[in-house]
Amino acid sequence: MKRYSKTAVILSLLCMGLGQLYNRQFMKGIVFLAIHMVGLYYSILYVPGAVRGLLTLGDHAARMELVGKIYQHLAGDHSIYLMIEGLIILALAVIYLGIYLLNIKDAHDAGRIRESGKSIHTFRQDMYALLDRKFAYLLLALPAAGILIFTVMPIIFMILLAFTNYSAPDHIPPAKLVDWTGFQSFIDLLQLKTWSKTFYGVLIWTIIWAVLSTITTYFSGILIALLIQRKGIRFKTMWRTILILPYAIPQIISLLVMRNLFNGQFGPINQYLSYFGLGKLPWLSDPVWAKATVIAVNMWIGMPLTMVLMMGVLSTIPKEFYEAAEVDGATGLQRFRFITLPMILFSTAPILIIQFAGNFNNFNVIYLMTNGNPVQPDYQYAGSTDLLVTWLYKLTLESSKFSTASAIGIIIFLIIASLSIGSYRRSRSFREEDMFQ
Amino acid sequence: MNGRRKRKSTLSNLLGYAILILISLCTLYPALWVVLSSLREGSSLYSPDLIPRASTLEHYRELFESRTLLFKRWYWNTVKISVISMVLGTLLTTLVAYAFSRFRFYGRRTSMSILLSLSMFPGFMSMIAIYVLLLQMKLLDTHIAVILVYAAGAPVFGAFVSKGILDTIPRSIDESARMDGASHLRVFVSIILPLARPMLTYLALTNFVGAWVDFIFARLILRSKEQWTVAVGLWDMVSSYQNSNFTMFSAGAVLVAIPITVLFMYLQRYLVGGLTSGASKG
Amino acid sequence: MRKMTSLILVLSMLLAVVACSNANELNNTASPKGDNAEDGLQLEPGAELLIWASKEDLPFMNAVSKQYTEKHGVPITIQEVGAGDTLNKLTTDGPAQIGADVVIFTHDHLGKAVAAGLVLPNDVWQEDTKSANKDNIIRAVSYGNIMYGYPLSIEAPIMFYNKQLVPDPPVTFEEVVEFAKGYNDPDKAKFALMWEIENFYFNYMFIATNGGYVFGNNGVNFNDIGLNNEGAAEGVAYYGSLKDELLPVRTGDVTYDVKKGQFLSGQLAMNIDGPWLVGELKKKGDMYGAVPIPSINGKPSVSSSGVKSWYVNSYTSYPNAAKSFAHFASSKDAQLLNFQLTGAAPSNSEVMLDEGVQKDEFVSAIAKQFENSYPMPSIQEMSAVWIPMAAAMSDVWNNGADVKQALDQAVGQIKDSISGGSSGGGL
Repeated sequence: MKRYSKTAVILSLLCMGLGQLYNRQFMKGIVFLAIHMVGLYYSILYVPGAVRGLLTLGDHAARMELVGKIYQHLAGDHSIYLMIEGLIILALAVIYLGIYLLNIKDAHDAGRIRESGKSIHTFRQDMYALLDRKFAYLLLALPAAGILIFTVMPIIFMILLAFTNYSAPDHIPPAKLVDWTGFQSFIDLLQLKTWSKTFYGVLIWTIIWAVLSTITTYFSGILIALLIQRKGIRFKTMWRTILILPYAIPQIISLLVMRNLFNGQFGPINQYLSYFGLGKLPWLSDPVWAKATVIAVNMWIGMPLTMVLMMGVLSTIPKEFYEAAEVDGATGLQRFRFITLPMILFSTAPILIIQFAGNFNNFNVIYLMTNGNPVQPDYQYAGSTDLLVTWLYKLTLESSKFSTASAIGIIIFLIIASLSIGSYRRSRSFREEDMFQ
Repeated sequence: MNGRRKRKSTLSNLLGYAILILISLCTLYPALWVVLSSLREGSSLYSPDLIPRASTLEHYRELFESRTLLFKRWYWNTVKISVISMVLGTLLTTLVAYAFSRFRFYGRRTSMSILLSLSMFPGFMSMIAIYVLLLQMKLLDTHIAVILVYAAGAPVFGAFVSKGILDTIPRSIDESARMDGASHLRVFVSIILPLARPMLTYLALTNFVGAWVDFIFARLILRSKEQWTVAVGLWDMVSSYQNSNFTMFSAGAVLVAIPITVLFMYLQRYLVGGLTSGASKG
Repeated sequence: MRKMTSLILVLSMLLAVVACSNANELNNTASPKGDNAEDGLQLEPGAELLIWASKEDLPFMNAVSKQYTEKHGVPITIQEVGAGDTLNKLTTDGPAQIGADVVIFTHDHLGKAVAAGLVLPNDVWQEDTKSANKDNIIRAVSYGNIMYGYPLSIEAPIMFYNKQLVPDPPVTFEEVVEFAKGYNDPDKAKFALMWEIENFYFNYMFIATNGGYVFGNNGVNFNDIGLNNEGAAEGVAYYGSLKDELLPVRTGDVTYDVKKGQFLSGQLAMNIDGPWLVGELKKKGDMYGAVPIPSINGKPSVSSSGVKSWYVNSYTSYPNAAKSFAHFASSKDAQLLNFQLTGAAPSNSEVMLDEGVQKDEFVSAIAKQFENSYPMPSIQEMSAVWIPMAAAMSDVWNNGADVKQALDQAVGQIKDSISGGSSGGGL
């Protein structure tokens, strides 16, 4: 028996596509060969420079030189640009290597097929397999490309930043170069004791906020959706349209309006209260009240979208379930408890987690509504309603301390991820996803 | 017996109406403020009274007539961007959700976990990377770039929700179609998509609204005023002391709310479509 | 074929990215028709300039750029960019070589711009600029002993008042308190005077008037913080006492928008605010006037202030033309034109004496207040000051916290933040 696979692997290792040609898969061989040419050309052209740029982050910064009495600006290396360009090229190189491995594996597999005496796949058969057994990969190809470029690459960039000294006032390009500093940003963070009190205070409130605001919007959305979809309720279109309004109005304006409505001294809500002989409430100026107010406002903003989602989910519950329940004489509450709620939870557990993560990082509502106020003098650069992200913003981004910002960003991510991924993996939506066979 | 049940359901309907009216009032009150602020004279949002003392359509007129504002152009830009990114974003999200819900392939759970964790990064710093990337691609200040960013980002936040909903559509339906010889593509287009209309509605709405209200990415990418979207233009109106014009801002916000509400009014019929009784038997 | 299709797609997209990245060189094929500006500075042949200007400045920008083009034959394009956005945009677009050649911003952004190497020094015309402007203005547009800016106009908070409610604007805070006794009516939301009581930019006057300061050595020595010295504490104590006597509301309730709404609807009698309010007040006819901020404890109020200047982008392709334009557009004539078209207060000492300028009550109030002011420090360490100071002063105002203790705590936080920053990426 001839060892086709070994020869094919060696050939493919030498040059992409050779193994396929050897296996008499000419079309595929040519495609691989073409990719190899293009990939090799660009690799030789760009990879060394990219690696060098990424490792050194530039040799000389832009500077001013005094010539006579005129300053001349001499352009230099921009560390951040070098870093991002390096990342893009390395991503490309990794993909090229990935295809290389794929090419070797493919040559090996085809060789095996030949060894076993079966006829190898034609190009047409390969394409057909892509539409059939490998259809999922085909579906994912385009979205994956988009996510890789616009989400993953920027996140890797952000993670890398935490290991540099990209920070004002001394390391801001293009005037200055940025250098790799290893774990220095994290060590600095851990060593500074003064902010620990602020950190725990803010963290606890952030978790409370994320849990409460997720639960309130989620359940208010469910209840309203159920209420509108009830059999006896008329004018369904009208109710739905009214209740979508908070979602249709841009958040910036509605939050600014809310801020005025809840103003303790001048706001109309307190004026109405005083008409009824009630005292004025410190909606936004008392730490506890302010926390309650932002949660309520967030519910106002978040409820409509959950409502829309829940209506969609409700409509997917097979009617047989209810019919069967009716026959068994289940009450309305029982039907909700044993059919509606489990079904909703099953299909929306992921959204609970994503909303939790979203609320954890909810910059807009806090920043535009209270900007973290009321002030909390015991905290460092944070107010009573500041979340970790808004605190991060005040602490680092307003003063251009980007490396610290990235380090804190990574820590925030680790907190959210550990809180939410675990619970998602435990949810029925993940474990028992084949419930509906 | 029957009468009591009827009375009970009328009573609970009344209660239902009462709750709906109450919630609607809470919803409408701030919305009304926005609308009435847009009719108020001057430039400040705050007013002690709900009803303006002197009302005017001046802000709307200025939005459309002012030569420095370019509002009409922004509006058209936004319509373009929002519609295209709605279609693309919904498509990409549905593809991902369908793949995760219906196929069991190598690396599936890992990629799901990665996708989920991507949505948890606080995104501040990633903006610089996107800027440089688009600069290199020579796409800065173009609408294509905005559409790409929106559409590519859509699956990160929408895929899980959609997958959850697709999971509730019994697989027996598409498997029996596959038995009958239908291709994956055909099953997807003619069986899954119609059944998933409520999900598509949700995705279309969120992707459409994104383009109307996002000013962060749009501001990063669209450098010149002619290319702006409405949200960027509105943000510019209130972002600094010098030109904080809240009443015109409200007028703009009302004009943003209109297409969103209209789209929702149109789409809501599909929210209640979905699975019809007995579909799984066929 | 495995995952081929997806990989090919990604690969080709990335290739496109990289292929583009090296085609970045500017293509300069202009015909030589150079021109000499006044000082014998050779303008680049084929130069053309891009300028960023905010909406409020547009009338002036259009006029002055037209004049410049007529004189030197350099075509100018004006792009509207919000005043608060200019520096951020320059930070990203400057090094990317798509920024404006000449920009305008207030001096407090200068530290950030210089640290990132975004602006060129004012070298050719530095003597001209120095002789035309007072020392504190020159200091404001300089950084580390190098002058960068071409000053155009000045800004300072002043006290606007409603002429119908306040026939005789008070000149001391005691008089304001006196006026409030007869005017304040909290139930009807009527108050005598408001400023943003949480905003350190406005609260600064209570600190500076009594001898406090932010950073020593004219705002550059960040190791010398004067926010908790005796004078500052005295001033903040007086500030705290005003809650009962003048404005019995909590700090969070006086937002910019509420204050402006109250003032324009005739509820609020007096309003301490910046020059940006002038345009809107002028629309109302002769209803509103302005005076310098009333004196505190018998001393003329020392406020914060700002200097708006032209700056030249380091990455400009035509540095000579850009410098020549910045100089031209900040000249005496240009400043007068700016005053006439937009009502801005000129920085040039001579223009200030112009009869028309003197007659404008808003501008003369700004000029008088500017005399008694410190331009806000432009060093980057300033960004550490705002939040702790707002917190400390609000705590004094709302909760009657101990003044000295509150200020000490704030200064401690500021010091922490600054020292963490310079050690390379700490807090």
